[in-house]
Amino acid sequence: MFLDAREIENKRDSYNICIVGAGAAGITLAKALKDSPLSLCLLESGGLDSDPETQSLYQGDIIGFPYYPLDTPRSRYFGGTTAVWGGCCWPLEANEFEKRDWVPYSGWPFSRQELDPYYIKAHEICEIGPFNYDAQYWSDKADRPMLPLEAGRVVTKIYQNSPPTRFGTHYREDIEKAQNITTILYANVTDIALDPLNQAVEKITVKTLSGNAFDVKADIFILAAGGLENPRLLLLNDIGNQNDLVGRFFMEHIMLPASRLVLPRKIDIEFYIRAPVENTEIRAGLALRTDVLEQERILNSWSGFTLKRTPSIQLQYRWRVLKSELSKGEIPDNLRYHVKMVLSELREIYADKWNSGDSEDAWVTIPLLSHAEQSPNPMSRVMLGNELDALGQRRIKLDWRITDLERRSMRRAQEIIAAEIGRSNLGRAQILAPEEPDVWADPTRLPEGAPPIGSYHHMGTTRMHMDPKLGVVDTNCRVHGTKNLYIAGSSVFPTCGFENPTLTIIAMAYRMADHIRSLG
Amino acid sequence: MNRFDQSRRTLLQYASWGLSLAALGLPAIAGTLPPAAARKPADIDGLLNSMKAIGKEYLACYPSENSKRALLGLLEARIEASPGQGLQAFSWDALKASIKSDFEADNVVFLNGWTFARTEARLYALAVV
Repeated sequence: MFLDAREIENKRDSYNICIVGAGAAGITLAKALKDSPLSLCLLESGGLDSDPETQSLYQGDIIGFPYYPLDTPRSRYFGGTTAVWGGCCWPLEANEFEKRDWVPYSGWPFSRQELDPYYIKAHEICEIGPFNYDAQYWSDKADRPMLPLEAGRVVTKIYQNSPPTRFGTHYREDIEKAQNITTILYANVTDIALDPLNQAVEKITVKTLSGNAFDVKADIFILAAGGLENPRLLLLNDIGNQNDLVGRFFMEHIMLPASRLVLPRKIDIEFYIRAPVENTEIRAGLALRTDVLEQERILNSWSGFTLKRTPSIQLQYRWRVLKSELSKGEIPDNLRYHVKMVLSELREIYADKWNSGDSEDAWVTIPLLSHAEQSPNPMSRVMLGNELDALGQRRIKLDWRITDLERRSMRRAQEIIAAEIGRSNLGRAQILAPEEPDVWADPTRLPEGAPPIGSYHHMGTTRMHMDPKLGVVDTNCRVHGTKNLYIAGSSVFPTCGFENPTLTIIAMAYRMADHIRSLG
Repeated sequence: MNRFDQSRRTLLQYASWGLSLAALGLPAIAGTLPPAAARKPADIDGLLNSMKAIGKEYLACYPSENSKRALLGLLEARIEASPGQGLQAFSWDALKASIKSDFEADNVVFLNGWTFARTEARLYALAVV
C-alpha cells in the first residue's frame, strides 16, 4: 500500500519495522521482509518521481576538498539513486575486509565469506550474472581475450553491469502489493525520540514540505537514507555520538584519468570496453595483485579503459550543474569554464578515434580512468552547518579530506601498470596521476577550478566496529548504545575498497533482514 | 598537444619493436633492425625527432650522463657489452632483454609522464649527444 504523507491526518499506527529511505538498501530490506509476519512501514522523503523542492533538502556546504553540489549526487524519491546509477556491480575483495597495517582504521569486523551468500542474493535483485568474478571465466565466455600481459604484478579484474535495475520502477509493484508493507511518500523524518533511558527509539516524527506532521512508532527503526543523511539524522537528534564518531570517516572513491596507454590497434581490447555475455555485460580493467599492494603498502584501485564511448563522470557532473542552474533560470558560475571543459572532452572523444589507419602497425591511445580506494580518515567528515532547510533542519557541511596515501597509491599503481605494459612489450604509457607529494592533502594547492574527483559514493560516516569507541554501529549494524536503531547503507562501511558500493549495500541489507528475522 | 603527444604514435611503435630507438639513426647497428623498421623508411625522420626530444628531456633530468662516453659506458655496464666497441657491441636481443629487465626491476624513468626503461631512454639520449 502506498500512502501520501501530505494527506495523512493524526496517524498513530505502530509497526514492527520502520525503514527510513526507499533506495537500494530500503527497498531490498522491504523486499526481503515482504510476506513475513512483520509489519513494515517504508518512509520515503520524495514521491514517485523527482521534484526540485524535495531534492533541495540535500543541499549543504562544501568546506574541504572540492566536491559536487550536495543536491546532485543522490536522488531523493522512491527508488533512490538507483534511478540514475550506472549499474556497476562488484563485491568488495577479501583483502578489503582485512586489517592492513598500512591503512589506518582498516578492516571489517567479519570476513568476505560472511557476505558471500548475500552477494548471491544481491546479484538476483540487480539482475546480473552468476556470482563469479574470475576474469578468465568471463573472457572465455565472452570470447574476448585478456591483454597478453606477462604474468607479473598486474592482473585483469572485471565487474558486471546491471541493466541497470531501477529499483523504484522495477520493484514498485512488489512493494505496493505486499500485504505487510505500508509505504509513505513525501515523508521526511525530522525527530527521533528515545525512551527515558535513552536506549530505545520510541517514535519518529515525520514532516512534509506542505506542513503536515505525524509520528510513527515501531519496534525497530532502520535508517537507510544514504551516507550523508544517515549521519545527519543521528547528529540532528544527538544519537549514537557519545564518542564523537558520527559523520567522521567520510570516504569517497577517487576517480580520475590517471594514465594513457598506447597499444597496437591489432590487440583486441573489447573485453576492456564492454563485453556482453548472454544477459550480462562485463567490463574488465587493470589492477595490481593483492601481494603487490601489500608489498608496496598502497590502497586498492582499478583502472578502466575509457575510449569515450560513454561520457565521463566529469562530463556528467558538468551537465548536471549546467542543467540544475539553467532550470532555476540562473547562469551557472564558471559557465565558460564548464562549457570549455565539455567541449574539450567532446574533442577528446573524437581525438580518441585517431589512429594511423587499420594497418597492422596502427596504434590506439586509451585513457585509463582510475577508480581508487580511500583510506578511513576521522578528519574527513560530515558535520551540521548553521543553515536550515525547508523543514527547519540544519543542513550539513562536508569536509572531505584526502591524504597523501591516496595520491601515492594511485600514482604507484599507474607506475606499475606502465612498467608491466612495457615489460610485456605491448606499448608504453603516460602517467597523469600526480607525482608531487601532498598535492591532494592540501586543497589550497589544487589548480583553480579543479573539478571534483569523487564518484558520488558516500561511505563510512556511521562506520561499523565492535568497539563503540571506534564505530557507530555494531556488527549487526545496530547503533551502539541503542536497542532498536539500525543503519543500512554504505555509511556503515568501515573500509570502502575501490568497488562501487551498491552491490555491497544490497548484500548488507539482506544480511540485516536475516538478523531482524532472527530476533523473532 | 605537446611534442611528445605529437610523436608518440611513431615513437611507441618503434619502442614496441622491442628496441630503443636511438639505434635506428645509427648505422652501426642498422643490421640488427627488425624487418618492420626497414619497411617503413618514411617514418625515420619522425622517429629520430621523437627520439631526440625524449633524449633531450632525459639529459635535462640526468645532466651527469650528458656525453656519449658516459652514456655508452652506462649502457655497456647495464647490458654487459664489450667495452670500447661503441654501439656495435649491443646486439638486438641484448638490448631487448635489458629493456625488459629494466621494466621488471622498476628501473624506469618518467619523462613528461611517459614511462621508459632506463636503457631505452639512454639510447634516445645517445641520439642527441
